Amino acid sequence: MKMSFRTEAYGGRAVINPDWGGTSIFFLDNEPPANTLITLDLPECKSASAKDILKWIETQSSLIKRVGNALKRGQKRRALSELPGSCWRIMKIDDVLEIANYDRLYHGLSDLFGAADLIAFADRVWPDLRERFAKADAITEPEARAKALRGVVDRAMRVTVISNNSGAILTADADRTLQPIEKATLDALAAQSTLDLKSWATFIRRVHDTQLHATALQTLGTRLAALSDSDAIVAALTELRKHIGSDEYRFADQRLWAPIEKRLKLGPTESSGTFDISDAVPLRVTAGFEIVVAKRVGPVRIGRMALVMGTRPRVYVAGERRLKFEVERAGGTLKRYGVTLTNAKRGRGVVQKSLLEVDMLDSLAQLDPPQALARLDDLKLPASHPVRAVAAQAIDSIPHRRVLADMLIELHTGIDPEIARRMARAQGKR
Amino acid sequence: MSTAYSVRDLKHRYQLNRALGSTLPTYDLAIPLPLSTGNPLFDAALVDKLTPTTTLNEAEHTSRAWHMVQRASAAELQALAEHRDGLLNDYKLLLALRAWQDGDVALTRTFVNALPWGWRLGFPVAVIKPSAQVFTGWRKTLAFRFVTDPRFDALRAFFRELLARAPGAALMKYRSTVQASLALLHYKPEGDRERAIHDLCFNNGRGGNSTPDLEPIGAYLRARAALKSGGPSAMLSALDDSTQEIPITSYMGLLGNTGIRLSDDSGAPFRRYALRSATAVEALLRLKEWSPWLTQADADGIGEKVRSRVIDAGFDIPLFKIVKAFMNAPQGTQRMVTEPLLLPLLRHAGKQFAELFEAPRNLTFFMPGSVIHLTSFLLYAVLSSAMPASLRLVFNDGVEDFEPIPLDDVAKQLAAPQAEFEAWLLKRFDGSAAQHSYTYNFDKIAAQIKKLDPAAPLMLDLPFTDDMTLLAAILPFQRVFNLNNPYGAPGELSLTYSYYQQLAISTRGWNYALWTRQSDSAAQKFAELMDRLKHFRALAQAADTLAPRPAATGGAA
Repeated sequence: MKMSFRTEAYGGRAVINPDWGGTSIFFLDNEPPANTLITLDLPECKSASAKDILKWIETQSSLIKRVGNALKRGQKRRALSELPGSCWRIMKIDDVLEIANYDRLYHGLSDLFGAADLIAFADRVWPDLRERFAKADAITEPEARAKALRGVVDRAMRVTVISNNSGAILTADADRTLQPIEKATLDALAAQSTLDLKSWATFIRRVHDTQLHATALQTLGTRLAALSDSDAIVAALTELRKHIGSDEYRFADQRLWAPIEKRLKLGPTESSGTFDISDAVPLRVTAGFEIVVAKRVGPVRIGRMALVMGTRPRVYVAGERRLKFEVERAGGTLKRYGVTLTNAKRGRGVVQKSLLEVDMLDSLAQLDPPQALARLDDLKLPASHPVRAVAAQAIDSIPHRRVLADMLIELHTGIDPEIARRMARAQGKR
Repeated sequence: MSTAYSVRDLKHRYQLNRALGSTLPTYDLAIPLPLSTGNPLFDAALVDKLTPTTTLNEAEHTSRAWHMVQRASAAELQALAEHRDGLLNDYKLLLALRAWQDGDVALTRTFVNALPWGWRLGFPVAVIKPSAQVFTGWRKTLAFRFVTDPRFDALRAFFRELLARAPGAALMKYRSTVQASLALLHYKPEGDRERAIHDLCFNNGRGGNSTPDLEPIGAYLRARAALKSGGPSAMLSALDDSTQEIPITSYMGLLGNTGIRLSDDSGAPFRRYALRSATAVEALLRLKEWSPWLTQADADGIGEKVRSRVIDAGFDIPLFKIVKAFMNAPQGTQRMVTEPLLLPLLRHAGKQFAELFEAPRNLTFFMPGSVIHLTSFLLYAVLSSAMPASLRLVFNDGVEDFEPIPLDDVAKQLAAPQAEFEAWLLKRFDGSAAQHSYTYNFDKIAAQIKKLDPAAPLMLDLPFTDDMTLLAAILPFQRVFNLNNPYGAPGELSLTYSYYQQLAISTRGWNYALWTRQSDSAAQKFAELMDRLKHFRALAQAADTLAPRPAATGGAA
């Protein structure tokens, strides 16, 4: 039986994993290269599963002898499962027509095959397949026709594996064709003493080879980090950004930003004006074009938290979520970092206002039941209201404090206390 | 081994107290151990913290805790005072507040002195405005008190006493806490030392005065002045001339003012002092940050510092922190610190763990042979370095005795590149390293377990299993440590591994998630468990002295 697998590396040796887990199978000698598609020819092996391959290995007389001599009884499971080196070869494209596991070939075809292989395969296989289709289709007797059509399915499915991968195969072939040219371009760019940012941007946007893309980002990052000071780096990044168009994602890589980050000192760009932070989201500042071109209020630092709002350009305000509460406590307006911060949505809506009080009632009911009850004085609850009895009991009884909290929350918000707590928690995360 | 105060006995007490509603479920405990001394206050003091848990928020924990502390009898307070070193800090603080409320200064002193300096220096805040000390976030502003009458004069005298003993480094480190205490007390400083402390807190030390017994505050102020007048080199000279090192955080603050980074070339002359001033824990936590410039000599120095602090001076750095700091460092740094730092500490941890085991001590460790994770062996290797420990590897068709793996061997692999580590696995475990399956033959495992001495400790690491056969096999055992979800045997304690989610995709119709299982916390959880077990036993005896239990009539097998 023939079967194809992509080899992997383990402990410096090539292995195959027929079941993508289960047992890894090694090679006794003549190891194949790792990360390559190979075809195994194992006569009388029942299937391409690890179980049957292992059974096949056990039937090989040379291995039984090795196991019997080398290991004690009960240690057979410790033997490495190894295929003889004679049973594999590099996969050929036509193997797909014969192998047992053609439906599990997902990776590696584009690494191994190119346009020439596709052409040759098409020349050999498609006319034959077309003839088989036509022959089956020509049968008039219904049952016989159906049987004949089904008889072609397996062949068709096998050919489809190559067809489905032809896009990837052609793309990879194209990339390999360009690779020497792209490498030469990158080498030339790297050798230039001046930094031609437009050319670097163009290269990184368009390079196909992933390795060269990574190298280019690393090299550019190092060159930018070597500029005289942070201002020079910022100027260079601003210039670079003009040339990247909509391909910013091609530059979103730590290889570019890690060297730059250490030298970047971003001062505030705004020292006057009003900024509403009610919808600002607390985020950790990361190195990237965004922070370089953003409006910055206060000492915004990479790696630290900031409140972020707006769209391009975004606004970063140095601080954490508690800054919003500070603005809130200051009456909705607070002067900080030379600007005015506001919370325009403060107190908006009956439900939102109520939710701010839920946490307070929840805590005070536990720590100081009379104080908690006093917060609802405005409701003017009668002396006979059950909540007053519960509040009195809560002074000495811990379980009653939870009951008190539930009652107070429900009285205040008008909604189920558990729902109110959940909503308060969710609101508190903003 | 006596069954009194055994794991079984302590678990039985826990089940009884749960039924009575006097103890919390494990999911609401900071240290989720299903053990009880028999006394709910003693239990809480060992495993409860004033932090939110699954169903209780911090206010509920606080309310419950203070309720119990307030109602404690004198005998209970005395017992807790005798075992104060095993109590969690939150309860030490609450007990100190209770003693203060009672006017018992000696008992207050006992509990306060058992706290770390940061907590001690905040004691007046805990008396006057407890929310600022106990809570975080907006709850710091809640207006309530535990102690109805703070007795300000007495509190000032108490704090004066504390300040007189506080080392300079602690005063520097907890400056904001000291400031809060002084402010709330309306404290008037007396003498040069107190005036210097006051100046540090309220004037950022601009008065420049310090006393010799307040070092390294003086060193810091001199360095800061030198930086202002003479620049970074003058600052370094001033620090070198001082008898005590300033805290690393203060040093990094001074450097930050200069714009100098240790990782830059300009930072090279300043690295030596950073290495000197960092404590053992701080050096560990900075391994990754300092990796770009650490040399082997630096690594040796850090190793020596950590070893002398932990091994020689007996300072407890959680093993988990050491392993985590090591694993977070880049491979090059890991290789540098394996010999001088990691290996000695692992050996030391093994000895400490071994001391926590009562006889018989021959441990049997069951682990999957079909899925091998290096860190899974770390706990085994640490334990087996200090006590007899046999390793049984479990496969889908049976169990195998395996030769012991030396700790040095395992630890070195932590720093090995992936291919090298895999090659080591193949060499040591042969084909076992190439198998990936979590299926077991439970009958064979149970048969092996039944041959073992039920009084000896047993450790099970069998992920994704839940089998009645195994449960039946471990029922007779006195001490079973399960590194996965509990089976429910009376002598069993669970120290679950951490599962880290790598990927999750969720739709309305299906979800898919990829988890990795890491045992990096198993060793620490085990250490924590053994430590708590020791204190549970001690306090269970104390609880029985206060309220003798009736003779056991059943329940615990």
